Amino acid sequence: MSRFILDAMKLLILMIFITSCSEETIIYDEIENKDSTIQTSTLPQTNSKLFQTYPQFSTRDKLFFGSIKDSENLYSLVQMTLFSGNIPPVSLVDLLADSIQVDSAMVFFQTEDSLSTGFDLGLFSITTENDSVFSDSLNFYNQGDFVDFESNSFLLNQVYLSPEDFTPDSTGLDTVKIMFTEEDGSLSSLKEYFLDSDTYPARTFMLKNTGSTLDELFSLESNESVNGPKMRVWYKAIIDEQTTLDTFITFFSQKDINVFSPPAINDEDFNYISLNSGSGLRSIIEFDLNLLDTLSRNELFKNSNVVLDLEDSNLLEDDEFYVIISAIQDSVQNWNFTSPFIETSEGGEDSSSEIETSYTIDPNFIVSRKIEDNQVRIPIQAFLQGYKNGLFQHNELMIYSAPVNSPFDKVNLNLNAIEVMYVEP
Amino acid sequence: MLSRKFFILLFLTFALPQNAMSGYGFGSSVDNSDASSVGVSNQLLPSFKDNVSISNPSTWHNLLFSYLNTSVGVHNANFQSSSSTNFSLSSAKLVIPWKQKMAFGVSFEPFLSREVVINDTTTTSFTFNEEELLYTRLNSSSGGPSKGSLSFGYKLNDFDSIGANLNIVFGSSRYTRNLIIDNDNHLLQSRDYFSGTMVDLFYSTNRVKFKDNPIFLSASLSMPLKGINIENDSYQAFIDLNDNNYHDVNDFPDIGQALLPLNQKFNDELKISSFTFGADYEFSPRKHLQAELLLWSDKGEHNLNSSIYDGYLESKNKVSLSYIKFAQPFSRDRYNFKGSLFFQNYGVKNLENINEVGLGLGIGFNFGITGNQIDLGYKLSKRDGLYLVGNETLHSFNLGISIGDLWFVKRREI
Repeated sequence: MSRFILDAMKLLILMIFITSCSEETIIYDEIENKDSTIQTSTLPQTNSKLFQTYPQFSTRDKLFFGSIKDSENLYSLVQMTLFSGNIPPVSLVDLLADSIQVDSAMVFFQTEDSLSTGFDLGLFSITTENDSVFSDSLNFYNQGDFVDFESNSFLLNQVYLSPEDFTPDSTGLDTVKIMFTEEDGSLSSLKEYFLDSDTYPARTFMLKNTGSTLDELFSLESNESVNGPKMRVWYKAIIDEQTTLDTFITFFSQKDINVFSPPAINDEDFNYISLNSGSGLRSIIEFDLNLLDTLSRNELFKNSNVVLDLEDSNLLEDDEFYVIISAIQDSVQNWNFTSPFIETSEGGEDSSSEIETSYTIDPNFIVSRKIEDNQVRIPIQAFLQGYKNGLFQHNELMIYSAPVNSPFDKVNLNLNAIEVMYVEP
Repeated sequence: MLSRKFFILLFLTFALPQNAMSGYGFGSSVDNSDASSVGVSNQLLPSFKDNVSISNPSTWHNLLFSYLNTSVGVHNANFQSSSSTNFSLSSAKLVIPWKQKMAFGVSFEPFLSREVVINDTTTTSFTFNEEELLYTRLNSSSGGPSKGSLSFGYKLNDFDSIGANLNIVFGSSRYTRNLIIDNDNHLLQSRDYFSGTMVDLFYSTNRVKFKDNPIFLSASLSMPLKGINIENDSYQAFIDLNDNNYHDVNDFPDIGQALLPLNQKFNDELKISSFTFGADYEFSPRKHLQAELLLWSDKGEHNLNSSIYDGYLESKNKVSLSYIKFAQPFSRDRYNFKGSLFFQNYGVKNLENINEVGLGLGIGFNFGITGNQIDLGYKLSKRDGLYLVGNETLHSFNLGISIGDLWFVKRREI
């Protein structure tokens, strides 16, 4: 029996060795032609919607000043820390103690920008009785929901920023300093309207152009930057009759926000696919996908694009603008213009369902493309294939401005075509 | 444990050569799986020993020893200016005689082969959005079912004997259509799983004589016990972006977003039956003339269209004439010589019928006291009427090794 196994194994090893040789293929020619190998079509648009959602200030960590591209930067709010980082921590109000003699203070900002014309930068203190006066949701359209910053503020000091203060094309940072001293009386204002956080707990600065209109964009580093706003206070602390401590402490910003008036939504925008992240202007297009129901399960979409022509924009020559197209999770019920800031219901019936102002993006399909040569072509074959496979339920696509775009940039696009190509192996 | 691993590998390496007929229906079959019968181009008539055919269980009781027989083949197909060569295992068989009264056997061999590739020889251009796309198509199938057989032979009396094979058909094949657009592979894949049972019945007799020499007559009837069913899994087409020939998360559409495969079951897709009749006459000591007739038909449903071509074989007729000179046992004459001619006609549904004419040559070398044997077979054939290809010339070399021993045979039986 053992000899049988031995012989069998030898044979099998031999066979396996021989049969492990590679195998060639024969190539025959000319497969019968099939009409449906590659086909193309154009999907008709059946509906479109312009709507406004909450503005998106982009991902830029700046506080902006100036009026550009039909936008005006109104003001910036910067809330400072209540305590300095020293040990033991010193609060703002501690600086008003009898044992403390404040000599001077400086609120300073850093910038990468330069200026071609000067402007007056005013530094105000928000003088409300609330400790939290703004949130991330604050924007031009809902200012009325917050305190009236213009009326509830006190001008602490202002500085004229001239072009000479900044070094053009510098890779480093320039500093904007606002000094507070006894001599000009500004220090007492700072102590009364800002350091006294018991009376004015907001500890929030408002920065605003107090002079003539600035027709260019100037920015300061915001709290998101490592070079964000700071306030340094020099003071003497009387320890005992023989000892006086002469020192300074620094307060840092803990949150800030820039409020600006974005390009206005005008009548012409309703004729186009209008996009502007500063005003939250977006569009949704609906198109006829009945073609997909007629296709076999093995049709594959490729080279299929939504083609949008640039009709109008405030883009400058070197500006880049990215357009995002995405699937949405809920179907559009109201194809009229909607906005979270405009009361569309008039007490009529079904008013509750009409106020649909935001649409949830389906993360399974989000594509971004840059406008080039006054046109943007956005591939949507993944959406079409997903719709055909049941991954997407709605034949609508939302089009909006990418977060990397300037919030001041606005484009009006015209839907040229939705061209699709599909193949079957 | 080691031998078990080897057996698994053995089954994986079963394959038949490529030829144009692999694209017909569910693939091409082979008539002579063992090397000893290649030279005589028949199955029923003696070709292994002077009274034994390794493919005919009704002759196995004449064996004195158990034999383990394996055959490998080198196959070459030529058509137009193309050529292809393949190596494959043709068969593996164990035959155990018992008291020269009956015999048992077990074997594995390929049943059908679908190994074939066809593609466009020219590139087609397509313009979309002022962009020119170039595409070609490549269709291929591979694999095919195998056949495992349990055999039994029984000697009824000094003249008559019978035999039977119980064949289990199993295995799978793959079919791929590839649309290549600008170097991107657009794949449509499907897989067929075969299962079925067939039975072969054999009868052999020496009752007829001519000039005092017996004429060996043998007949076999093959029929399906249970038609061959095919389960077809059809996968959704995809663009193979990472060129690994496998649908995964890096392809389009992502495997997670693709539709589940369509599973369809087709019953009685193949119902193959055949009748074979052969006669062998020993006109001089150890010199034989043989003739065999094969009538083959497939009455299967053929509802599943997963073949490269639209046509499939529905009938086959074969006539072979052969001469063989056997070695003299226990002498210096250790060589078997074989030569044959055969004619074959394939009836093809939906396509043109195919004719085949061929020549078989073989030599066998006996060695050792147990009648070990090495067989070399060569077959040259030419087929006419093949779809698209026209003519095809096939060369086939087979090498068989048969090791005889006393496995399961008591010594006093010899």
